[in-house]
Amino acid sequence: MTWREEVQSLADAMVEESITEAQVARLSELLQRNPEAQDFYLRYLDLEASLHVEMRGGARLALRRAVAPWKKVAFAAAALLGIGLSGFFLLRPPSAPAVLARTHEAAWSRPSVALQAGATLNPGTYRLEKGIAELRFSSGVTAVVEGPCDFELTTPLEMRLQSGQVVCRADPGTKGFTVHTSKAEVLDLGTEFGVRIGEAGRTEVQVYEGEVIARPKGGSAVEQRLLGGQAVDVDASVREALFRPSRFIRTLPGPLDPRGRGHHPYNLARYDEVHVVPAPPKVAIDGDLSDWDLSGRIATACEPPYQGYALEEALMFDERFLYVGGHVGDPFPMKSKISPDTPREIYGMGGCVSFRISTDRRMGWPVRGEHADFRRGRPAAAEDLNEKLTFMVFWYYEPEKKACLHLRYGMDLHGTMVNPPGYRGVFRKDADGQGYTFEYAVPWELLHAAEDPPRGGDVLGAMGLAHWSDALGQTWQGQLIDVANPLERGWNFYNARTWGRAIYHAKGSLPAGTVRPLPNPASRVDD
Amino acid sequence: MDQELHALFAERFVRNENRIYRYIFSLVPRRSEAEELFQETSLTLWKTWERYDPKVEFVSWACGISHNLVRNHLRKRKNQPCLLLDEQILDQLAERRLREDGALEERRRILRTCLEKLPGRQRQLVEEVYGGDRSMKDIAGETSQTPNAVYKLLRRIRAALFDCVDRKAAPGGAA
Repeated sequence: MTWREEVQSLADAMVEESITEAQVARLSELLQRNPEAQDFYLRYLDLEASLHVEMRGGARLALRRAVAPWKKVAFAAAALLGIGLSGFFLLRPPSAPAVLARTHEAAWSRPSVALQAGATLNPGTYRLEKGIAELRFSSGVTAVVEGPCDFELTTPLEMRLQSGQVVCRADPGTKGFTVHTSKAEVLDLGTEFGVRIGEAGRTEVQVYEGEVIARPKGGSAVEQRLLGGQAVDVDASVREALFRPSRFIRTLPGPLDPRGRGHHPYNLARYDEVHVVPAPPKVAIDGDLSDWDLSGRIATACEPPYQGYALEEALMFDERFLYVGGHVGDPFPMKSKISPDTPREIYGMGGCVSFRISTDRRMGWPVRGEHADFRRGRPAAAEDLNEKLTFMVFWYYEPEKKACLHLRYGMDLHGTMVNPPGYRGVFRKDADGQGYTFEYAVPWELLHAAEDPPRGGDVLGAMGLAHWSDALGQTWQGQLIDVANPLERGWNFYNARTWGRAIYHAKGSLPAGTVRPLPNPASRVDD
Repeated sequence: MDQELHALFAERFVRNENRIYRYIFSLVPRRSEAEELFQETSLTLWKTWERYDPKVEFVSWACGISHNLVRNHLRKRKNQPCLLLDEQILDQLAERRLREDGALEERRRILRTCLEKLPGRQRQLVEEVYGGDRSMKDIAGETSQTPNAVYKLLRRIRAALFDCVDRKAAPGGAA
């Protein structure tokens, strides 16, 4: 018997709980002398543990026997979240399961009475013929149904979907909401996800964010755990499907939107590169871009029905400055109440434009560097802490009418600076109040590139983002991310390889056709 | 309370809980005990999230906490024959396990593909044993086998899955 066979057999005995003291001693001896044996043993045990997790749809669901201790966890978590236990699996006695929060061109054929926004939705069956309706469950879940759609309401923690489609989003900390269809149960573990009934009752499930369990009804098919960016079709079995961000209508990022942080983009990346052109000799930073060379400008927007949420951006450079300017379509422009004087990790909550940019001429493109969470235990390398990777956030602090700048460096986002000396910035609101122009000049020193600024002919990395806020300028709503590397997936915040190319030109006034959108917009889904 | 930190913590917790469970299982490879320790760890994490430093890698932090709970667990049962490896070797394993976490995560992803390739009956058995709540005796009885025969078959399935993952893992890859 080789050591490997012996370790394997002892590990089997261990997990079967039939191991003897003598066998434990022998295993100990084998592992003690052999690091290779330790690796093998760990892999073998991890396969066993992975089977627990895979077959149960996640660690929490792997818990079989002892339900009671988990309740303790639920209590602790619920107390922390300050939501009361109602949001956490347990229900308060239901009165009405939901209210109709708002509608858009909605026509109902069941019930026969006209339903207005604000109406209480009692247990019963409903049919939305057309339009969009947003339901607010007392459990803390918001559901957007798109007509035609048949559904039934029973309790605040579930709905039955007979036809049509729904997108559900749980408030932070709320878990356990279930969408039932004739083919599947979709259990929410704190997330946003869509469910649609296809042909012959086939159920499509798509997760935007968080975690969901899709479980076929009847049959022996195994349930599946889905994370953000995953989709499945469920009938007798569960099959992976293509994630399509635009498959479902989601809540509009707007003043009544209760959905919180707006974590993921509402757009498909239309560009994999951005052109940076030489700045004309005199550029006034005044919120008017008519003195700019806009020949490298790109224009991108959120997917319908949110196409009004759009970003145009242009980049220019000279020996001293990087110029960043553009226009954002925004029904609540320049509202941010996030003060630059209060230390915090994120300043863009009240609406912002931001850029990730590399000035590392030696590295070029693709940009390398990973956030600690992406490295999976690999110690930080120099490129993860690269001073030449900068995350710039531009926002307008309304109470003081100030164009602010937040800078952080490296993929670990160190060296935070707010409104450092040397930059200039101006915001200007559109006459119709539906957007704003922004214009900034950022000295190369602040991007750690004063010694060796980018030159014509360089191809470096960059990525642009826009965040929208609620009407008060306090909370994040949806966001847009563009200029992405279509070959990479994952969070731009985690992995710098996801950034697109920034092409620095020696000569401006680029000929028509230089700026080219991607033939097929990439389905970037993560922030 | 600090909403941003809390949101960050909650997100990382949900994202990483499987890894924490598997870490615990590598030290205490008995399912019910590992589950209890996982719950205890979850509870501790939810109680101490305010002390979480977002700059620290979440999995290492959480696994450090669970390692302490495992140590306490072992010490409590010091006087009984506990049929687990001794603390000194577990410390070595714990350290190695954390270092290999990325590679093991990759192996888990590959395992999914390998599971799909299992012959139907074997796959069904895996689902029943690992996914269900029934005892081995019941599962064996249904197919008129002895529990021992089922254990043997499971050993063969595990070995086959392990080989399958080995074959597909990048040679000399992340490990």
